[in-house]
Amino acid sequence: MQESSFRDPSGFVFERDGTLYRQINNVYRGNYELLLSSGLYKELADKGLLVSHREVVIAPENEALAYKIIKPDKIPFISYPYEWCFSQLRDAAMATLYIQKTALSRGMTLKDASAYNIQYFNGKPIFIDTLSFEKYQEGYPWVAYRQFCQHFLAPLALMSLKDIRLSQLLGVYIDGIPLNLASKLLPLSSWLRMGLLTNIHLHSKMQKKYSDKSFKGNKSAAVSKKGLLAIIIGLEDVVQSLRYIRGKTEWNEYYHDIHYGCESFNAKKRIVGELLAGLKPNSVWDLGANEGVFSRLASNCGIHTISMDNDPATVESNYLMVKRNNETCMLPLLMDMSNPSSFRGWANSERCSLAARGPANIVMALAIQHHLVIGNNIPFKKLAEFMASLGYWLIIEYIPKDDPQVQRLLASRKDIFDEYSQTYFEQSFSQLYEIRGKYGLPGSQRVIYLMVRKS
Amino acid sequence: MVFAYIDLGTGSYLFQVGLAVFMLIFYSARSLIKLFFQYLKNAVIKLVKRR
Repeated sequence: MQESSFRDPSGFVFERDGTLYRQINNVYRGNYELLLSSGLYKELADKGLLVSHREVVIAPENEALAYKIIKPDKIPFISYPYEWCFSQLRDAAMATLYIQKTALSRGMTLKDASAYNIQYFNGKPIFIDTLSFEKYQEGYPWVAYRQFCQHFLAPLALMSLKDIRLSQLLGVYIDGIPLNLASKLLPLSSWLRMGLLTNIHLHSKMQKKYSDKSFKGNKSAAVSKKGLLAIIIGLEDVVQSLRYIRGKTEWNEYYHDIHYGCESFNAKKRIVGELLAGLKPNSVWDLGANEGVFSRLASNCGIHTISMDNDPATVESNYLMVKRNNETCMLPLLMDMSNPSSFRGWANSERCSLAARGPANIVMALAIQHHLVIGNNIPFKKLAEFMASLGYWLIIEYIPKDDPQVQRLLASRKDIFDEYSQTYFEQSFSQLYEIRGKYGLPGSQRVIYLMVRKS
Repeated sequence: MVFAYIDLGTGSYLFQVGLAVFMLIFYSARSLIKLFFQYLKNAVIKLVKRR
């Protein structure tokens, strides 16, 4: 059983011979049949909002519980909400609400609204949990309402109105940001916005008031279908009204304030493009990708590319470009390479680390090595080990000590990096990699290396 | 009431009951106000055209 799917008794995901399957348990039989017969599955799958699947006949993983086995389409890379930029989380929220509205129109409802049920596939959000739909019963509230507010609304409001970096709270609170915490952190002005006043502040007060009281529901406490739809439309309004106003950050105008010559930059693009064309990889991870200029050399050739950066503003720009150009092979992600995503959740195995989601065919580390070595005191040997854990081929740019960017990093600190030299860089990487090529960038002392992992 | 495998919580349940009523009134009132302004706009346009 996949460690991310054990919570739901309706079924689970398992892997056999490298293929992913989902077992549907007998307990979910009625809902699965309704999902198909109501036309909801077809409508959502046709719109690319629900992962497509086909039923297969193979031995179930747990025969005593099994009703059917389905084989869902493969999602090339699993990403998590704490790795998404503002617009990615907002698009995921809007997709969830749209799916819930469509489900209601077909007599079904979403029984959970976890942000982990959304993945990015072909550049767009897609719902991956086929077993999250159940029959709608008149009068019942939306059981996933609290979860939606914690997984989507609270982080979006905090990112929009307080600080964009608060998205990282999603990594700490695996079931979404508690509403009382969100209410405390949000600015006073948020009390003047009806959607946030109701769905976060008053909702949180109500949770506190009834925190130790049980209630099993009664007729007078029913929610009509129209009322439920009004809540969903209200949530759509408030999510849509939240904006991320980008200020100038250190990195989001990196290519505007270009710090080495046009000649070097163009040569770098040509060299990287030629290396990618020669290797013909099926996956590329670009570390420290900024707005994805070099990532696009791969993704524009149909190579599935993960474009990672630790600056929320540049990841946002990158994602907006993906949307604008309808790019299908590119996934921008927020990732701090000095502290990449680790295993999280129950027993440290529910959500995978970055390395566990690899290896990639090619790892590109262009103009990032000096930030890790000098900015974060990571020795070359440790850097080589980390890169080797992520992929087979490595395209890495060595930045010499007298480069203006390295000098900028050293301007406000003591130079303790006596071993920072091209010779030591090569020695350190040669222990794990075979160096296949060295390409100097004209007009600078920078060198691009092509390396392949020894084992 | 039997909930799904996630917990809605009493507070969220009861809040949703009240919110549903409030949102219905809010959207109905908003639609009425929009209709009223549409009517007002049409009336003004008619008046201007007559003159």
